[in-house]
Amino acid sequence: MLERSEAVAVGLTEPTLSGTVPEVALESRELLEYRGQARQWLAENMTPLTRTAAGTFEGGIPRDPNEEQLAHARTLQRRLFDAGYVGFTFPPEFGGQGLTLDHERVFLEEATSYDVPTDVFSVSINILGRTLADFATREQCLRYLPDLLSGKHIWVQCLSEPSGGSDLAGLLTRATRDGDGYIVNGQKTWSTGANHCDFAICAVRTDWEAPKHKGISVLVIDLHSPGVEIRPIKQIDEGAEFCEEFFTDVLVPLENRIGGENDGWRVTRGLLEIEHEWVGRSGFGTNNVRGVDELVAVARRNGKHLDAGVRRQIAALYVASEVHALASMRVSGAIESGRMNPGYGSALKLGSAMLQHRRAELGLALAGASGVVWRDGDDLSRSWSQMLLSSRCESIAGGTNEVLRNNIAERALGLPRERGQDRDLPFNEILRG
Amino acid sequence: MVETESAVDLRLSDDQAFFQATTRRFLAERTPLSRVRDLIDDPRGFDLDAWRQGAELGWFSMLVPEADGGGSVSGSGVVDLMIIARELGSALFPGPVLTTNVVAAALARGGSAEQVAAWLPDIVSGETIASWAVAELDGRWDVRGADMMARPSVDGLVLSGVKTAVEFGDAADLFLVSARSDGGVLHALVPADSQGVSAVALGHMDLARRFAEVQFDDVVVPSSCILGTPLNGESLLRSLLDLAIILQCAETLGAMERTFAFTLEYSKDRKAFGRPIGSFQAIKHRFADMALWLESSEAAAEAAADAVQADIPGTDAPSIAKAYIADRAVDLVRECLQIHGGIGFTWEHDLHLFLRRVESNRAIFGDPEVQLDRLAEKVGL
Repeated sequence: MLERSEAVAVGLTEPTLSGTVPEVALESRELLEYRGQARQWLAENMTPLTRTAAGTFEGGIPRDPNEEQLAHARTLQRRLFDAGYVGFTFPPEFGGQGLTLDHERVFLEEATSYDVPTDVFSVSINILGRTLADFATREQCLRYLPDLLSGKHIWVQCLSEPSGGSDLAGLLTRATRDGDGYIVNGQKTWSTGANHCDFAICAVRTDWEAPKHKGISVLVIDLHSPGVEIRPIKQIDEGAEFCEEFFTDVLVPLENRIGGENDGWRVTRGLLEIEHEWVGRSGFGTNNVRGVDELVAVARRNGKHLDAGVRRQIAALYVASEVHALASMRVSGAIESGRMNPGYGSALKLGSAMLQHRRAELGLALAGASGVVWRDGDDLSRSWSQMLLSSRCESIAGGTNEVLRNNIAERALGLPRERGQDRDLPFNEILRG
Repeated sequence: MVETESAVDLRLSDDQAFFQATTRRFLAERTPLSRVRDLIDDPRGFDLDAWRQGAELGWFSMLVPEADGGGSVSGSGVVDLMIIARELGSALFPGPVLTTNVVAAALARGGSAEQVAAWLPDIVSGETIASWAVAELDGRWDVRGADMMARPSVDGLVLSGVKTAVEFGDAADLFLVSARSDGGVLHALVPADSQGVSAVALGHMDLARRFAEVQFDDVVVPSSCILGTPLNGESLLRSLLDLAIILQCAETLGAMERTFAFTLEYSKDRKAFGRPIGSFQAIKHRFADMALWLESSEAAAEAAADAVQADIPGTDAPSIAKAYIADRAVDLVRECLQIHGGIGFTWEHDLHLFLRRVESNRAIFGDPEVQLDRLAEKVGL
């Protein structure tokens, strides 16, 4: 364990927004040095973002970039990749760094105030890249991962379908064998940012006579192939990051299959475990962007900052955020090293979703009338209704809170499964609609 | 009651894991819950033999330097003591182990060589039962608004006032008294048999723990019994409160873990409508939330222990841990009672013993509201 004086000596006890000094002060010497190197590299190679009055950062690449912003993001990602600040936990032979989650966290904390394209590539790297690293063959990893990490190619998962969200294994997209490949027909939906993506990991049905979980395969689909059509869906928060994809006689080579034929449920489940753990760990933001400072700012602006109840509500959100960050480090680290059931990753995502609801609900409540009516250009006031609307997605996307709770209870805690009536039937005999 | 292993402690060294297992085995043999129940009607309220054997296992030595007869398992005494506290909570061990350690820490940190020599060896050996007289009826635990004043006298000071919620105050041999003085907060060591000291037992929700109100009537305290000076009294108080809070958090965590474990087993065994009740989503979803609370509580307690161990000035990690864990603990044990249904409402079932402990711990040493008021200032309110 490190003494505080060492952290002071390395000059790294500058508090960020919400009092992260204790965490930094307890970091190992190796991590502190890594933090110092990252801080220096960022200062020399990346552009700082501007800081608003409320303490947030402005000017980064949005979650739903236009073509020009996307090209800029790719340039920056390539710069990060060349400097070794991408794919922290990926094996070096696939373009990664062979480091730990702590290194990744430290870098992201340092990078918060810089124009880095984290949002554009994070799903691609942390969900799809990780799934490839865990489930694809070495040849497939060598073929796909370096371009994925460097930002040349962006990936997305195509799992949900219009006919069923939580009942994922009931998927209807059909892949038929045809010589050295498959012909894929069907429709997928809720694929985040698919309109900017190059490749998809897609779950398809390859055996209609097997029970629902046993007739699924996972394919890598080149989204630039003939027969692929992608349409953004307009959302309640006016964004359009979610997309639907239509596959019409899309040809997919056999070598693009991840795992065995009809072995796709294992891969799909693995992808979801990866997704839950990652979203749970990172979804609520790093230390600098947990939103406590904005809540303090809106309370002050509306003269509520002396109200004892309001003070406790904000402090309680601060407590919950700090504890969620600590729990994320603990649980993710333990899952990474194989000491904890991956089902606990679902608990992190559940916690993150509930926190995001709570922050948005509290912010809008503190904003009062100014949160629901505002003068043109008053973005701070407008932001709370925007956050409230956007936050409703967190308890649905990537697994609803209800599905997550089932996962935790059944996988991590070993409670008895509630067997679906359709579980052992041949898929083509199951009632649908 | 079905026992299961509590959640894996992810950070323990081999030595610490062995120490944890030894402590757990000792408590299971020496004070099983049946014995805890017997002690409810015992005049003293705890088992003095178990106390002394615990002392041999190191229960009172972790925060004391080796030179003064102490010593820890790993070199990180706070973290090692957290292991003990968690097992004590899991076993609902009755006895002021945590407060005795707070007094030991006060001596080790703020005591003169003479005070250390006079008091610490008997505390470490289990001969002296010590408790902390800090709280007054305002419930804020920080002495700032306290009524009890330490007035200067010819050779030392005179204490007058009433302290409440003094853990096992009627069984203690020695009190650490924290009071206001004109110059600032003062701490004094007062033997329970001093002239003018009287303890009256209080009613108590936690059946496995006693509390007393201790009255100090013009108690004369010689200067040899004053710990430190008013200049450092405030910071010593804060560090002792932080220590008390995190040890209590570990104890609460132990009680949470055990309640969760036996309730989880129960929900797998108990059948209703032809299936285990744990197969119903209405039950499952509660367990999922509780698993999240437990892991989060564990993480908060670890971080707080690290911060106190490293002695980070002004750390808010203990307040964060208390604010989070105390509330999640009562939520969790109340949910577990509900999952048990009618049987959980019976005196015979052990569940209420755990409920009483976590409800009591929520309030003692400052409730979550006190912590949140402190933290509100820290986040800029």
